[in-house]
Amino acid sequence: MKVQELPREQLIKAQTLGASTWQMALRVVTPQILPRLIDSLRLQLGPAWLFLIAAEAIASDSGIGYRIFLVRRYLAMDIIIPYVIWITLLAFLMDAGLRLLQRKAFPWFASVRAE
Amino acid sequence: MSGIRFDDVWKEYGDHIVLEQITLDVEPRAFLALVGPSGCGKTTFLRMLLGEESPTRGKILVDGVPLSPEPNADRGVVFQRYSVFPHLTVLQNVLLGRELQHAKIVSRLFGAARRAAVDEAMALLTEVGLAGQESKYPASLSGGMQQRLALAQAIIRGPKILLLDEPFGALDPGIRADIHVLMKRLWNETELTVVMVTHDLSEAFRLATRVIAFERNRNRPEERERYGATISRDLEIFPRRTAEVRQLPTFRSGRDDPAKQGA
Repeated sequence: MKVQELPREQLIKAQTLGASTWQMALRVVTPQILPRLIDSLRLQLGPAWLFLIAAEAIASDSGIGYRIFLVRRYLAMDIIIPYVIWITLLAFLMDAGLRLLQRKAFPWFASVRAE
Repeated sequence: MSGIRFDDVWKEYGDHIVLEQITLDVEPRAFLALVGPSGCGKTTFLRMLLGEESPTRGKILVDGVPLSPEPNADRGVVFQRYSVFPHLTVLQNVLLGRELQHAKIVSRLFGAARRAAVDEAMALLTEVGLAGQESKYPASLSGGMQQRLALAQAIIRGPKILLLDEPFGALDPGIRADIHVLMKRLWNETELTVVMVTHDLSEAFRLATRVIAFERNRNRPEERERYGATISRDLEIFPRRTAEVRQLPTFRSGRDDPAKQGA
């Protein structure tokens, strides 16, 4: 996920092809960083959901987290459990969507990561 | 098509002297092979020529002009690894040189300019034996094919000097023999001065017009820091090899100073 992890040879090679700093950023660095950015986004999905639910529980008047905490005082598990399943499903779909995007938009990345 | 002149060049890292007293004249169109034990500064030498490092003392002149301090399109390079861009297809890798040259802001070509560049790149790919592979990514090519691609990518801009850092070191012998044939042909057909670092002596003597050996004159442990390597052998290949006079150019170099006839 780091620009420094790109082999230095690649930047030198780009310079010998006449690339300016801007061109290197545009054609060499950014395209190789984007798929790694998706990886890191996928890792952050869990914490993002956790904080979303927590924030809705504390200060909100709508949302899944708000509803769960609304019915919590009645121990209405018949409502809470389906909402939890909804959260799982949504998070899973987001993850699958990001994976699909990574595979379609950066088909070269799988073999690079395997190295 | 350029002579290179090293004028009493030294390279030091802090107190550690790596190379000392390098004085060398390389004639235009030479094929120079650098050999020597590991850690004797061959790669440092190449990196100075590339502009990645600057000499601590002395000067490097190309055609009488001091070398520019950053790598640029005058000097092409092929490394042992990481020479091609993994996120570009074979064709895009070769096109990249032209795109960077002509489209300064968007770095992409469109319409007729793109078609011309694609035609040129395809001709070059056919030349190096990669026709039919142009839509693959480098990761799905073999090592030898990747180095062929790296060569094509390096020469599309028509560099004056081509630097090779153990380019064929990781290839198995059969593939290596094939790529030697290609390298010889490229050297004859384009207007390159080639400098190659290699570990393989037979490769050096088979390809080069001149073999330069680096060695430390003093190698005792207490002397290692303060005495660098220098040129210990400078062998001209016999019988003398010269690059052929260029026939009709197989592709445009993109520069407007054509090679002198017979140079």
